[in-house]
Amino acid sequence: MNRADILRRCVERGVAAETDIGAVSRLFYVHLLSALQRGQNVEVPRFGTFGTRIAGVKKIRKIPYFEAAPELTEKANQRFRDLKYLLIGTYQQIPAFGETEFAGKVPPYDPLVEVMGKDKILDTRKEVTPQEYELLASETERSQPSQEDMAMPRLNLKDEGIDTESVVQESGKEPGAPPTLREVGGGGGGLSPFVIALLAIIVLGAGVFALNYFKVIHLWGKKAATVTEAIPDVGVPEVETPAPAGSTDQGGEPSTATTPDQGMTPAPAVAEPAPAAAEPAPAVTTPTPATSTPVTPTPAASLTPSGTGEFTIQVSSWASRAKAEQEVSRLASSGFSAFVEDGVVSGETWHRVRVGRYSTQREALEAVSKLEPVTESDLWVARVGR
Amino acid sequence: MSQEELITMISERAGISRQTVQQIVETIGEVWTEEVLVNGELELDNIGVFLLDHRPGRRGLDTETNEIFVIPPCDYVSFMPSRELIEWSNKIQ
Repeated sequence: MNRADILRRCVERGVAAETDIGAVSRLFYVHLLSALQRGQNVEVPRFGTFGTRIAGVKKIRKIPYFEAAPELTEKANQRFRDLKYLLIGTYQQIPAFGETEFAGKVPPYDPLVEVMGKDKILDTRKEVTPQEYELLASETERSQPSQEDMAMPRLNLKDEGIDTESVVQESGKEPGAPPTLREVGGGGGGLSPFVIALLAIIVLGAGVFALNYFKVIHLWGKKAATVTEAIPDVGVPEVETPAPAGSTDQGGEPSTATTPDQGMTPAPAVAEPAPAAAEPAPAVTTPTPATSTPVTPTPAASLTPSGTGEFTIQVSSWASRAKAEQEVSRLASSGFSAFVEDGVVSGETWHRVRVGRYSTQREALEAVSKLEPVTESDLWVARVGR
Repeated sequence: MSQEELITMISERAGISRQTVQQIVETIGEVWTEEVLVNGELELDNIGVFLLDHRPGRRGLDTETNEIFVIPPCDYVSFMPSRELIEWSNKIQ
């Protein structure tokens, strides 16, 4: 609509002369534009207010806006004035699994319409006439609706773009059928399979734990500990056969005593005393010198350690000093410079039979290959004093 | 600029009585209103376009009472300023 059309329609109303209307209309436009340029607001009676607001970040600009007058808004919404809208319920009526389940549905989609049935609940996007409102309000006030209440006037939902047949097919029920318990979110209907499986796993785990706790079955716990304690006992009768009476050797160190040495060779510590005891040497035991110290190597007769190296070869370890010296004598007869070195493990003194001293670990390993034919025990390289 | 100021300025510039100017200005507003409500659109030269838009009714939730209520539909007038009006508003005097 241009100015000529506005001028013509104003003249038709007979408000004033055409010249006056034309002059006022032209000045009205001029003052409107100049006021907007100055940043002022212009109020048009019964229509609205023009103004400008600042917008933009990098480049600040004034953007004109229009705010409709209350009279204009009232006239625009006059057709909605006599309509009433129904309070459709409370939030608890929405299914317990939440509205997120309805995400992704093609709008318009109202979960309440599907759950309660389209004949029962008013679509929120639908205007209701006062007559329909009274009917629906009286319908909802009844606590238990009867079959007659189900025969409510159908709303023309197709006008709003809602396909009633597709929604009914999705819900899998007839349009007039009452909602089920699950649909209204009123109850669970038994435990879910996931909960049942979880309870079964918990009960089974508790049973296994109880059987293991009362030692009916051995899945974990003390089973490994009993094995480690039984190993030193096995070597006792083999050692005691060639030993002189009264010897109290244990046949070997506990596994915990040899943990520092296990880094040198892969052989386990508990296996060393058995071969050593399998070939006992003749009884040439020498009494333990009273001046021997627990850490420094103890020279036994002519079996003093040769060299000043840091590495040595450990042949066996004995709780009995006599047994250790007997082993030293056997190795000395074979030409090896064996000696006894005492060590304290867990408060107990162990006599370790060791051979030679080597400056490097490589030399010690080469000597091991020469020593292996003589002794059947597992040899490993250790550091002197450890 | 209020309505009174606008009428006074136009009256002084045009040499017409304030009452007549007020009647003419109100008539212009009524014509615009009628055009918007009847046709749903009003396009003014060098000013912009007025559109009568519809906002459908929707569901609201009162978080205090946990009640679901209906927000009624409504019509509202939107305004899209023209390029000339934006340039004129930002023109440095």
